[in-house]
Amino acid sequence: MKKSKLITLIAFVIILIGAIPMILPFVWMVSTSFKSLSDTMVFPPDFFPKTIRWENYTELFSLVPIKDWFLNSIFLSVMNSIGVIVSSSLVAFGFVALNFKLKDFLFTLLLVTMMIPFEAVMIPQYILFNFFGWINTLYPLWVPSFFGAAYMIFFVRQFFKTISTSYIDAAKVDGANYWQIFYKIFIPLSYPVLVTVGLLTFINTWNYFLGPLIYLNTPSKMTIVSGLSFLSGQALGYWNYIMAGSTLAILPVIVLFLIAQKWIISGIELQGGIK
Amino acid sequence: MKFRFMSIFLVLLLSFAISITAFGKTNITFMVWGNIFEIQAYQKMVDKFNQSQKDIFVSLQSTSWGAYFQTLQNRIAANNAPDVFVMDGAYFDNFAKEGVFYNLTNLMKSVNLNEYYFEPTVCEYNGIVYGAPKDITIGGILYYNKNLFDKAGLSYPNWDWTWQDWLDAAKKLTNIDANKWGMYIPTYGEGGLYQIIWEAGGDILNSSKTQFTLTNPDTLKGLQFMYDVRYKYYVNPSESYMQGLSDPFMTGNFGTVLGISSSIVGYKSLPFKWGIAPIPKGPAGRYMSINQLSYVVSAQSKNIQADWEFIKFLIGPEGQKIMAENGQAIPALKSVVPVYFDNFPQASGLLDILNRSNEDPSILRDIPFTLSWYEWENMLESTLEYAWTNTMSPERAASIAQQSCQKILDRALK
Repeated sequence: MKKSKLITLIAFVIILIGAIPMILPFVWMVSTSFKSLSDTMVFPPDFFPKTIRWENYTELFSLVPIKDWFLNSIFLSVMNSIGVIVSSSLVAFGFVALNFKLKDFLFTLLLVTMMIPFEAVMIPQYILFNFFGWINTLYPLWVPSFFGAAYMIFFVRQFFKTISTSYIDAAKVDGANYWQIFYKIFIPLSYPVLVTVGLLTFINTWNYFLGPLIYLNTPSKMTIVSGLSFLSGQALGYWNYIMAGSTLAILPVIVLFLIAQKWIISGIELQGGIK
Repeated sequence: MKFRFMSIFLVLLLSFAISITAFGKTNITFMVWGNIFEIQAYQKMVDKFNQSQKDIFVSLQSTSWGAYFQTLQNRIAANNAPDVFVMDGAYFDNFAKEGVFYNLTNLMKSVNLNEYYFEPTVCEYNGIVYGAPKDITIGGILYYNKNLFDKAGLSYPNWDWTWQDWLDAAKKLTNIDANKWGMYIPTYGEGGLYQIIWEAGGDILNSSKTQFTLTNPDTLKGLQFMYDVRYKYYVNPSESYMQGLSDPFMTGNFGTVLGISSSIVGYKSLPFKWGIAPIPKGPAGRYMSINQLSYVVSAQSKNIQADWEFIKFLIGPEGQKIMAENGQAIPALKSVVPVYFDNFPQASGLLDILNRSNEDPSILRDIPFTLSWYEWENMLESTLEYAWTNTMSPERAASIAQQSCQKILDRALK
């Protein structure tokens, strides 16, 4: 008994030490968001602001169209989550339940696309979306998600593979077609993993920095994360406002994570469908 | 097939006709980079222009500084370049060589360039004018902290100061235990490196801008000075100390800092008193740099006449005045320059520098922009860093810089 308490204590200390470097930037961000601009430049830096400056937050709302940015971010994150859940689960189902020529080859090809960095396809993609007339609109930032996301397809497929094929056979015997097998058997069994996929997509989209900067060229159309870059220029960054904006920007993600934490964990535990 | 082609053609024709008849205005796009304050000032200029025009409508498109050139390259590749945009010297030559800009030589003949600060390095390529002057940035000016000078009982820097006076004052201002430093000479070209090299009698490139001259003895004298203030006199912190300090002057810990004039915007509400003086005189004279941004027209633009009307407004008294009033940049039109300084009484020392340069233009020299400047400037900074961190002597760092930069330039000029 005594021994296990000691182990718990040691584990706690180790975790605490590990947590410090992770929590420090967060504390720094919140602390800087209350400083005046000149206080952000003090060296050696003060960890806590000399005087708390709440005005950074109120001024931020008049300086930049932050409400628009939030709405854009929410719209894009929701649309991408829906798009990725729908498309990835359908494609993953195809790879698991159907048998067709070149199935393995196509799957490998899909995995290969994961290895191409965005920078390499950026210009061809831009030319394509420009051809559609989508520049300076939000379309390039959410429509592609309805055509699948390689990593998420892989993720869902791995889960689908753990669902026994006897389900498919049994359903076929009962006269179900593939569509019915998909939404009556696979989807209900996969809620946890689909929620995880949606959540990861939501967070990824929320934090997506480069895309909005490339495709949008009106400040009011920006997302919250990319829009904040308009507060730093060539010569000077308004770090107090940037940090205030960043603090606001991560709040929805933290709240969402706290709500969905249960789902993510059960997504890992509930692997499989048949006992 | 033929029918399909015809129908596409008709649709295009129809949409073209609609866009002309329904709106009756020529639409042009104007792309800029900037932070939110700069973009607001641009918006004011665009609004003012649009109000004054019956036939032209300008729409402003903006990105942040970090995304600007990538976005521009994408748009040029997609044949969707903005009609008018802002250009920086760092990329000017490369873009001009690629044929990105419309040739403005004939149109610019109607502009009296004597009324402007006009930098051929940022407006011309191979003798062809592609850019109209937007603003100016003076590099290598001496910002000084009046509070620290008063506390040390020193008189403020002035036009008589030499490197020796500077060094003497810096020694008195430095108190390492109290984290107070007498000076800081930035290690990037425009901020201080070029000017110190010029003042020592050296140069970065030869006069035809084909060969680097970093190992020439006079250039080395300048580098040696920058090394000595760090590791012989200890009045300038080492470069490893400077890591993570985005703007040393704003900390209030530095008596004098060389820098560029665009930093003034951030100094408006500093909690200490400050002023601007010219760079102290070196063995070979006094040299600061003059740099500029320009307005250019895309070679892909379909409405050159409208673009030019807009540029005439931007570089005319009205456009320049809006830019100056918003404290965004020092206008290139000389008669409007004082408007900018109404905003910044503490920066009157800079106005003094500009006034003197009108009598003696030799004190302001051009930034040595070439093809691939951004590439070799990067290399120059990172190789000379060996000297500033005291891992190498200035001579050795300079000879490495010489070789590496020359390789980049040779490749660019090929």
